[in-house]
Amino acid sequence: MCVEPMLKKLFPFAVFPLLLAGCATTPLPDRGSPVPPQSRAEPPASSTERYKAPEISAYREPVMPGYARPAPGRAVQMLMAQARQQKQAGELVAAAGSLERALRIEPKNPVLWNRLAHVRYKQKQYSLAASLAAKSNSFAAQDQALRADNNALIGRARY
Amino acid sequence: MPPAKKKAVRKKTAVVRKKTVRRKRSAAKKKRAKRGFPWLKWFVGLVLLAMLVVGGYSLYLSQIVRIKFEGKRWAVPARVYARPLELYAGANLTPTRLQAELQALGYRKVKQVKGIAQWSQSGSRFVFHTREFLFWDGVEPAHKVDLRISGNTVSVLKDGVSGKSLDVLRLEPPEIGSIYPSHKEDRVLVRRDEIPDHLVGALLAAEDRAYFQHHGVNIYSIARALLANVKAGRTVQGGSTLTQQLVKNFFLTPERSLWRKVNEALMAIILDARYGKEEILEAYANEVFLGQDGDRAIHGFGLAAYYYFNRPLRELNLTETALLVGLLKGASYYNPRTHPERALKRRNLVLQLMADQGFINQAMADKAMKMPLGVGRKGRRSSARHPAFIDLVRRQLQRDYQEEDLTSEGLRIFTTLDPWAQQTLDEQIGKGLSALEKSRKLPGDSLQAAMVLVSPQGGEIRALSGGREVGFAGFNRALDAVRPIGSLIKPVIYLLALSRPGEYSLVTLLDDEPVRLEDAKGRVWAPKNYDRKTHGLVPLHTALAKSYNLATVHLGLSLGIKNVVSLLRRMGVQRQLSPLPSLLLGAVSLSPLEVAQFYQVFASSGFRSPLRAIREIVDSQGRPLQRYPLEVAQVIDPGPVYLLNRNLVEVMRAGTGRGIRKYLPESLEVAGKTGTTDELRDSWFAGFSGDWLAVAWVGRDDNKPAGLTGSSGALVLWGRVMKVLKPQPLGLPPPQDVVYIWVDPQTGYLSAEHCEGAVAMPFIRGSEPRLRSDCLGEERRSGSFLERLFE
Repeated sequence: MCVEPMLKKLFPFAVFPLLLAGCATTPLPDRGSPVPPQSRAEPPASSTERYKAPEISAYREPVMPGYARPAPGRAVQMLMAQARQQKQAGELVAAAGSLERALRIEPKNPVLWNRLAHVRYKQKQYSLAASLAAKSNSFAAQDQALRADNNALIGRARY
Repeated sequence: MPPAKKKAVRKKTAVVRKKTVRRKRSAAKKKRAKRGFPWLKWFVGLVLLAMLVVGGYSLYLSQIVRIKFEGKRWAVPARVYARPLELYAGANLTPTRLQAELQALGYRKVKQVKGIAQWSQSGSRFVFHTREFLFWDGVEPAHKVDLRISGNTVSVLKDGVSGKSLDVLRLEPPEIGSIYPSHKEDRVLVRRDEIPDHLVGALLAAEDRAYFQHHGVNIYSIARALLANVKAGRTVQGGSTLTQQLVKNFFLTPERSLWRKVNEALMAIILDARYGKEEILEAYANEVFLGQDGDRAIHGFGLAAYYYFNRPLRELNLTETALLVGLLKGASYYNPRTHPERALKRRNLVLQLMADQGFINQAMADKAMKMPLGVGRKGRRSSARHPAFIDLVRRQLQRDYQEEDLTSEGLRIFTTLDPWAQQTLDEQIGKGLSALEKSRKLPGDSLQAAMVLVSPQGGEIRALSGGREVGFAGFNRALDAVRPIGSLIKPVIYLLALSRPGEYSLVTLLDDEPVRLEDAKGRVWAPKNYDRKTHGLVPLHTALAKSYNLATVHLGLSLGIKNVVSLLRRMGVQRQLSPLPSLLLGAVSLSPLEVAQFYQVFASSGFRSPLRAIREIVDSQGRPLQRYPLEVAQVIDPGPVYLLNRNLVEVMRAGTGRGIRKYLPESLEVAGKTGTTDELRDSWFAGFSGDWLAVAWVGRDDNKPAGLTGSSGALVLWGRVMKVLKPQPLGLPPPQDVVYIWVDPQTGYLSAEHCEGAVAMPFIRGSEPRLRSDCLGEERRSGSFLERLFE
């Protein structure tokens, strides 16, 4: 009988690392969303040189503004965690609302666009989901795992 | 003979008359003898009849009272809110902006924050206690917040009580107006438990001391008033109870007659008998007239609290409520903004009455009487603050809602307006136009302008200006000034070209040679360049940067005008367009808002988001009714848009937009395009940074030439606004199918970094130039390496 309140107390501590892990590893798709295994199995782009996309051009744009690929700020991390909980609880409208709020703070964060695409897909708004995933790609730069997830979503949405 | 006859007749009548009288008298005598008091029967009958009539009439009145009192009592206008300010570590914020936001919310500046809706500042450190606010997605609880700003960003955000750092916090959104019905009554409903006790005390003391004892009417006070009025020979005192006053406002017309007085008394008695004192008091507090704001009537204490003190009613202190109660005698005569002395006298009288009748003690009254009026200069609920934006909101709502729902259901509408951006827009348009008129020696107030500020990725309209008269709801040029857009159309044509990488790249040479077209009716169209010259073969990027007309017409004709129209349509232009060659040079009339819609596609890498002014709508109970979500549709591949945007950056660096350097530093990358129409009638500029998209139009209402080009007019306003907004650089990452190649920018030949004049230009993979410049001729190895890759 007294185990339950204790569990409740411990619950945030148990969940917090999970949330943190969820935020830290951007390319992983949402838990429970039907993503084909190959996109999850693919190693992250930065882990080994072998997987780097072949470079054709010798010249890239010299400076990429630092803010274009920021590590999500704490505000966005919190809103993403909130959106994840809402999505898992089936509150899809609220989850989309939290992600839109996060996007107002970091409009060029490709992960947020990807998460919103997944929420819209779950709401069966397939063409919007595909556009959102394509938009995520436009900010994803070399984040190949995120690209793969977006492309898989686009494929499923257009199917 | 005849006279005699007459006489005889007359006599006869007289006799008859006498007879009748006699008969009647005798009949009466007989009756009186028969029954004692026959008039009593009549009297009883009459009384019964009267009772029946009065009873029936009361029943009728009672029905009226019931229907009105139990039905929807008031039409409550929709409330319109600006966006809530999001606070988090790293947010862009200056102390001035935070101060303005807290003031707009009616927070009080204090030395030390002790309660809700107070703030304090020491240097760049702010402490404030927010109010609780019900958003569409839940309650944002009240917080005591400790915040520090350094270098124009929030550096520390923590809970003011526990000291724990906070992730993110929404301030309550400032209210920017209401959509009220044609009878112009505006009110904010308050519940009985939101009415402070000292307000009830003041009401009773000043208006109706026996309110909780009488039955709707108070005979003593009527008698007292009558006596006083007779003594004075005119009306000096009213004997009406609060109930009667409510009845008067609520059910009756304002004429003054005895009949209406009787009705008023009857209905007051009925109201009192049927409903509780507290309920009637609540209705009274919401009904009364307390001021006039232009054409808007301020009703009820709830709205009056905002109108005079910019705070909710429950936050008002004794002195402030006494002032509001004083206004009941005459809201315009005692208006604290126009007649502060009268208002002060009246307020102190109310306070004294409260002390006399024991609602407060004399010491409290004396202390309150020493307080200043405390009335704010202008209420935040004045709907005249952002008329152009509210107009846009109203129009967007009218697509989905009935006018009546908007003006009566108490909806709450959450918009995308950024008050600070709006204020910047209003200020800079005013100053900018005056400066332009002065420097160009134009008559004052001859120029007009419109401007739209949008968030590029989400398509949210952050600010909108419909003209230079701030706060005047006139012609909304941002929506209704539909003018030819001139060269603003050119990027669409160039984007269409770049989306065919097999045929066009930024260095493709275009013909800048004379054009002469004849239509079916034999009319000739022979456009010229702005400098009246032709430039021969010019690279595509130069043709756009220098806005060459002839090269553009040649390009557009070979792409197909119908294809240009179709792209414009996909980019969100809904207006009917005729696919004529003159369309290629901007003979298309659009409003600044419509221009912002299709430029948004450039600013967001080819993804169209319908421009929105509204985020959410909730009903009067706070339940969400509707959301206008962030929508995105891919119009065109990111690659070509990226190339075009690099070209639009060149416009600002070396083309017609060079003038921006007066306002923004060279290192800050922005993209944009100027537009000018025939005889300099319209001056346009549309451009974007990483975080703002803005479209500006300058011209004259009478459509006469304004004498300004896109760069000498609209660009000036655009630059002034951007300078204040401190935009972020464009910073678009190149899409995967884009490569940078060193080329000779004039010939478009392959080149190398060490070659003179070579620049790195973006190409869609596969569309890189093949021909090598002379400089590269000797570098066999490098050339063959590239060749191996491409072939």
